[in-house]
Amino acid sequence: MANSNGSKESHIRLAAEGAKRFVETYYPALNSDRTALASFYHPAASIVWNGNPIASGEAFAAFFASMPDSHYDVQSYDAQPMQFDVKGSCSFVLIVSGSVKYGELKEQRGFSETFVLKPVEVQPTRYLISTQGFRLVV
Amino acid sequence: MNSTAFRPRGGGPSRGGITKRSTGRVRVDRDGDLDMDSPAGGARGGRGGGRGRGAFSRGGVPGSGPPRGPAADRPRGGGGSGAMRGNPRRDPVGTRAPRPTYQPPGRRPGGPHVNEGPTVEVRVEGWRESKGGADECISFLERKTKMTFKKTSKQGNTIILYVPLSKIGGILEWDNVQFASSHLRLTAPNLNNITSSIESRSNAIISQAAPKSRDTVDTIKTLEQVLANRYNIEAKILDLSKLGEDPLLKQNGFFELSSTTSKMFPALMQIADKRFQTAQQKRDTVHSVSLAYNSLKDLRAVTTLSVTFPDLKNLSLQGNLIEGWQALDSWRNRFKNLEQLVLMGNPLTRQPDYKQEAMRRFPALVMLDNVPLDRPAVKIGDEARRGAGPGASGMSGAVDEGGRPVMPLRTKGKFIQDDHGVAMGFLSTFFATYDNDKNAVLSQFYDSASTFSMSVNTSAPRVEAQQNTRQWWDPWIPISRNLKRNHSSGFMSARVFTGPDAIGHIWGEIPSFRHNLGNEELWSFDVWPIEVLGAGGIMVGGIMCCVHGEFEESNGDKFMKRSFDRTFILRPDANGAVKVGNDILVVRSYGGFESWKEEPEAPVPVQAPMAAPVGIPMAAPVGMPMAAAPVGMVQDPNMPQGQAAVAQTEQQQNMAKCFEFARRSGLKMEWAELCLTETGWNLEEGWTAFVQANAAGNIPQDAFDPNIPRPF
Repeated sequence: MANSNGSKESHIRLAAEGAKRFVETYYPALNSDRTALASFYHPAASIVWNGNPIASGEAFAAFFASMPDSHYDVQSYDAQPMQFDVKGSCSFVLIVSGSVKYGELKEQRGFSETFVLKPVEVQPTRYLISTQGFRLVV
Repeated sequence: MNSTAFRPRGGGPSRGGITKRSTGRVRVDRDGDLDMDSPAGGARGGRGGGRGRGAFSRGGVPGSGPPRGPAADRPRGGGGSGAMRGNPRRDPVGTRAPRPTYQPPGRRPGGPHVNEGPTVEVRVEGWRESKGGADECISFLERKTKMTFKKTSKQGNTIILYVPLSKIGGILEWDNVQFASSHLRLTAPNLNNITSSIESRSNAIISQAAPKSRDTVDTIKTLEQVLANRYNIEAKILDLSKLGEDPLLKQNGFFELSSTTSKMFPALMQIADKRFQTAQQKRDTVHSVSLAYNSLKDLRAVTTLSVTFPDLKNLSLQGNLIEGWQALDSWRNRFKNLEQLVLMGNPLTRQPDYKQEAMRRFPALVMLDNVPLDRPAVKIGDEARRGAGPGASGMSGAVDEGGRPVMPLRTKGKFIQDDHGVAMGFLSTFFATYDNDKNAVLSQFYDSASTFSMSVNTSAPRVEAQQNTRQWWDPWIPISRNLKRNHSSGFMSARVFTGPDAIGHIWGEIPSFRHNLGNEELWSFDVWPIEVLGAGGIMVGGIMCCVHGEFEESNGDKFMKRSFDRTFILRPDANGAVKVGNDILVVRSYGGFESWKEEPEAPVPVQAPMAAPVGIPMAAPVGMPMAAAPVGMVQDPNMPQGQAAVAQTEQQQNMAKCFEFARRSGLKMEWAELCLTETGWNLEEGWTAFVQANAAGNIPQDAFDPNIPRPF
């Protein structure tokens, strides 16, 4: 039991660290480096954006390229490992809450976004988006 | 039973929602009998472990009967096959439950091309003694059976209906039905002759597959056993994958020289056809078929699958050797209700128009190779023209009436892909029970591996009414796990609670709150299948549920309206019951519920540019002509706004599209034009084709204009 607790804790920490790295690179890319977006996605990613299914990371990047200027501001995030019984790395779920401004508008909207991030097999400290659900919530 | 896919509790879709919780559990035998005639509630199970492979390891398949109550929603993206998703439970009294499968004449499942077998004469007697005439009697029976009789005749006191063999069961069950003060007698005297001739034909097919040393009866027995082993009643999957490795077939010499897989499939199909007798039975008992990893180059051996199971919802052909679409031509216009198709692992998937062709061929398809299709869910034409896709109008500073920038995708309501209503059933029960009895929720849905954590976003935007209201976050802060605020190593591994005891404890610590279940508008649910790691370390079908809503918190004498975001990742436990893997909650200031309301489609008709008086954009609020730019027209961002709305001729419009397409794709004009002409000047389709061709490396370098920045 002690063992499994130890591994549980280390997975929780790993997920939190992975989440931090992800949040600190993904949102800057959304805001100012849209061409890099596709590289954040697993080839078979499933994405739902404001109720619209989007078929892949490539499609998401293409879609996002046509968005008005956006500025996302992450205000809180939290992550949990999705399973404990895997050696080394594991997938995790990440929930992000924040505000976003579109175009020239001063108005702040609220957004909520959930990700499932999967470790890359050959490089377990790197994670790719395998699932993403986005909603404007304010 | 170690089913890897969720199964509905009580053997049927969860329908009761908030008020009605079904408690029955599926009774399962381990003897491997394939008993299609049992009502699902007392079902017998075939093989134990559903296998975590392919599409079918994902558990959720799109669409299902919706639960009712606040959490209810109609499933989206079902491609009009909603009627096919009736409750597989049978009426306990008889078989006269209303049929959920009625389709208007001419839109029969499977379409007119499906061979329904030979025609059988059904003799109707007893109507003479009634108060009604022959015509009334026929329409009465059409109503009852939900069929249209294409041919009828009258011989004295007998009406004769000519009915396809596949429908015969649906008619004869009305024998002795009361009609206008009399009872009708329905018989099919030559049914036996017909079936026995079919029997001998199918026996011939079966005997061809038989190994040298065996007779047909043995062969049938073996194949029946193979079928039984490979049928999973809860998941309604017929798993015919990797037949070449089937121990029973090997052991019985099915792969000796004289008998090959190509003969075995038709034989298996014959057996399946007999086993699942009526169309209704087939629909109810088999939703998914896997033919993965059978070295199939085309459909010759399995073409009858579309006759046996015309209403199939999920089909896997993963890992075969299919090279081109023409190999699938014998299924053209078949499988009109197919929602999920897996073709990955076939050379075919490398074709540039792969996804489009799959969508064209299977009109109800919503998932291809386990990826949701970006198919405009409602009306394809309108949606696409409105500019619901990349490359269409909507960017470049266009704003709506509220002055907000127009997004390339409009906000849609709930996105629900939820086979059997498992997730919506969970959500209904969860929120209805949570406020009153947290222990009940914990014991039903949480196990020792379930985790919960919550974070407070104290800076979230809020509705105006709350702008100057003190938010009283103090009681939440001690358990809030906002990683944005604290990166210390101790914090990173703290405040995640595992198992029902720890979770129940922490739920007792946070302020108590109540959800409003009475008003569906206050809720947003996005639900779709994902893959998760299940018991035993194999990938199984899980479900992602993203919930947004509000609750009223009471803390002492204070009442606060809050908004929350809560994501559940559901997974089956070792017994196939629905459990929460992850429960992750965000609480924030009240932000209302306007933001997830479905945005209306643009009201502007497609032909608007011609009809609109020059200089007066349709329905445009003064000063915002861009918002009402005619649909299907592209604005050049360099063009002054007023002019953009007034392109006159088709040629000019196409030119504008070409410019826009070239600008966005980085292609030279002639290539942009090529892309667009090939896709009927539809920007969205052109863009998709471009993205795919580019990803596949099919666009030469010199097609790109070196002066335009490339999108990727």
